[in-house]
Amino acid sequence: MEFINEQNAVNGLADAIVKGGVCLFNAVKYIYSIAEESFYSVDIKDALKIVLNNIYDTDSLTALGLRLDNDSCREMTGEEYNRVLPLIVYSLAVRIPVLKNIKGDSGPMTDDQLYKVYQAVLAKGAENYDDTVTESFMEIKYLVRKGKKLPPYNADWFKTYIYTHVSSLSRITNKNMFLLGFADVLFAMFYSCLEEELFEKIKEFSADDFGEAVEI
Amino acid sequence: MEITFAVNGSNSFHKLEPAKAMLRFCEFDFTYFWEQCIEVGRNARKTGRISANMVNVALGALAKCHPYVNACIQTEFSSVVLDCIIAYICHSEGIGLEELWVRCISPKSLYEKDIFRRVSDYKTGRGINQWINIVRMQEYARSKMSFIYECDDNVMISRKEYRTRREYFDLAFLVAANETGCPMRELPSVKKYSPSLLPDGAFMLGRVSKNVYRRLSDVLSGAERFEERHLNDHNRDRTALDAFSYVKDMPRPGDMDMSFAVEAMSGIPEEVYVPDSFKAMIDLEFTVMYEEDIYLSKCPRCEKFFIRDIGEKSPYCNRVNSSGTTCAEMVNEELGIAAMKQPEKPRDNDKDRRHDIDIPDENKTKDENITEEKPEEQVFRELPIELERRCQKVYGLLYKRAGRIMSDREFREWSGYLSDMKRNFREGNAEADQIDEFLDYWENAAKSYAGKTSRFVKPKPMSAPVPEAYAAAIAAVNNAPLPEPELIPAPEFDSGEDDNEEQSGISPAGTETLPEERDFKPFTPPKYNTVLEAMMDGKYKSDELLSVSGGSAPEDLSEIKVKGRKIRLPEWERVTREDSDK
Repeated sequence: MEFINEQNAVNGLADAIVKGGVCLFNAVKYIYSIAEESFYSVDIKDALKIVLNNIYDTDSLTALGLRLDNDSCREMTGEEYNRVLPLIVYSLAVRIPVLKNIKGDSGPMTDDQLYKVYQAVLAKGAENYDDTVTESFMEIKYLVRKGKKLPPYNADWFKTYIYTHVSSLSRITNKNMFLLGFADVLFAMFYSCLEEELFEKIKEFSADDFGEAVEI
Repeated sequence: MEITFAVNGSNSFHKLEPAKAMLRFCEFDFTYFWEQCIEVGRNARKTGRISANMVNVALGALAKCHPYVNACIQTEFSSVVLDCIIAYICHSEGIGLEELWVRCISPKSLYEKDIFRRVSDYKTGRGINQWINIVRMQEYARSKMSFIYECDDNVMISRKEYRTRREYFDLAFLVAANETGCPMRELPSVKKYSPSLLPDGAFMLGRVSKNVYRRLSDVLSGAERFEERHLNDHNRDRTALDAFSYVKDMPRPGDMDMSFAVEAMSGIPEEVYVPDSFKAMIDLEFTVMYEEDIYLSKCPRCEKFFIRDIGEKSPYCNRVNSSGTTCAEMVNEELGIAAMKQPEKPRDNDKDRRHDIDIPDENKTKDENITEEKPEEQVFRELPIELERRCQKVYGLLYKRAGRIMSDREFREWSGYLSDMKRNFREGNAEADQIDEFLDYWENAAKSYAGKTSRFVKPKPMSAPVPEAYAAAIAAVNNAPLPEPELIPAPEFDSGEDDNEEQSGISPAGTETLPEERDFKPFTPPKYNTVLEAMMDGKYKSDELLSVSGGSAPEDLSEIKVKGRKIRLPEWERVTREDSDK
């Protein structure tokens, strides 16, 4: 695909993925805080609506009275949990080949372009700590090239990491069970929205005229 | 008689005159506040943010409705302007709160963000629409007042029966609440405290508290911090006595400290009420009115409530009406009775005038209030009949021009001012010249306004700059129609017949046409007796407004939509062991 400025496009897409990852990381914390004292006053569907409509900014969740502080998220304050952020970004980065599905007049993004975006995201701190994320860039690239159905983005790796590395969250408590329950829904829906946003970004950076006939 | 009360979030004492505050609240016209809110909304729509100055003006207008609202204007009612705007948007666009919330979920301006946050407060139970609350509270107060004080044939009933009516009304409410499953212990209530036992007493009596702290600083510096998060019936006493243990050996202060405390505490009331809600305050007022033998009665002529002395025979009020006289005076005139012949109680109705809700007495100083309680021997003067007629004449002149030369509200204030002047004259605190001077000024103002308006009565179309024949010829050559004559519009206010509120332009960005493209009309409130009545009319019902999905636009809310696209969970497939081996 031809971009107006390829370097800008690569950086812009990498930024969007990292921002999305940060937002998902914060959204998990915010929603987790519901279990502290807002369980009966905050509708989790409202929280999901806010997150999915503002995928680069989770500040709007404060409107529901949710706060990211040591009281409501004390189980998520350790160093081990902080590694979830680079893991989230990594898990999104390996799915970059999916961007090949959007095609302009000059065709889809080339493998080289996709790889540059992937490298840019890794350079911003994405990391597969302890090989927690089982998917890989090459695997997804292969599936996309072959036109095979991709497995849905899910929170399995997140739960695995929690069980094996974050003891405060792996205990059987009401709050922790709530976390493991909503994570499945949040991760899947969030990725769907992020993907849509990334397609929009590509259209923005592309030199092609997408007009009405956009093939996705 | 005044009630002293305190509210959460404020370290001040507030005062309220029962009956007087009640009458004012029940008859308070919220139209001006409503208009201000709509103006704030219009402005915010254009600028993208809510103007704090405009909000303060609107809050100032609302604060006058009741001392409780005034006391809580920066706390409980701080968002009432936004609440009013939200109610208006929902009303004018026929949408529910949920739809408004979704519209503002990705706010594009601070205004939309404020709306989003406020509606989120409603959704999470951290706030209610206080504008609707105030309007409903007015309806509640009116109902209770009518239930208790409205009597057949305007004959006052016994004290016992008034009490029974009040208790019956409250009990009916309680039964309804109980049967509908309300948590009874959480219903509005009032607590009565001695000032030094108030929850915020240490701050409210700061001067003395500091003195106490100085004496106890050594003991308290080494005290353990209280750790328990929640007090309950079991640990309340223990916790209080733990705190007391630090002062149990405290000797009585010396003479100096004691005299300082005496001086500091001399100005504070002996008892303070702390209502936890507006309804609690209203109920307290009714209770105190009964305890203090203050009774209301409905004037059969103007059908408004007024304070009636227990021995008062006449059922007519002493409220100055649009003709410049009181109902009592008018009835006396009609019956051919000399209006001012009341030898036993020379100007007893003047006492009632103090309760006239049109007179803004809230700001009167203590001294002024003291002067009202004059001994009965005081000599009252009659207002000369010529002066009385002149008052009526000027009143009539301004009454006809109310809404043009001055707003309705200003006219009411003016009317109250005139009543005050007349009363001052009767009490010997003013001279006829002063009233004359006052009347001269306003008569001239009214007449000069009438002169000015005559220029605008018949706007004439501008004549064409060339003779008609030439103009027609030029138009024919250019194949163009003759120019329309430009009209100079008369500076008249909206007649009030058009109540199409959809023209206001208040809505979140992106939901309507741009303000510049809209044809704004001055806001004209619909003709209703009460705002609640207006709200209950047609599609605009408070229940509907508070419901999740609104009334007219049912929507499947189980879906999560992002920019119109439904977001669903992926379709999970069940994979068997055999499938996975393939």
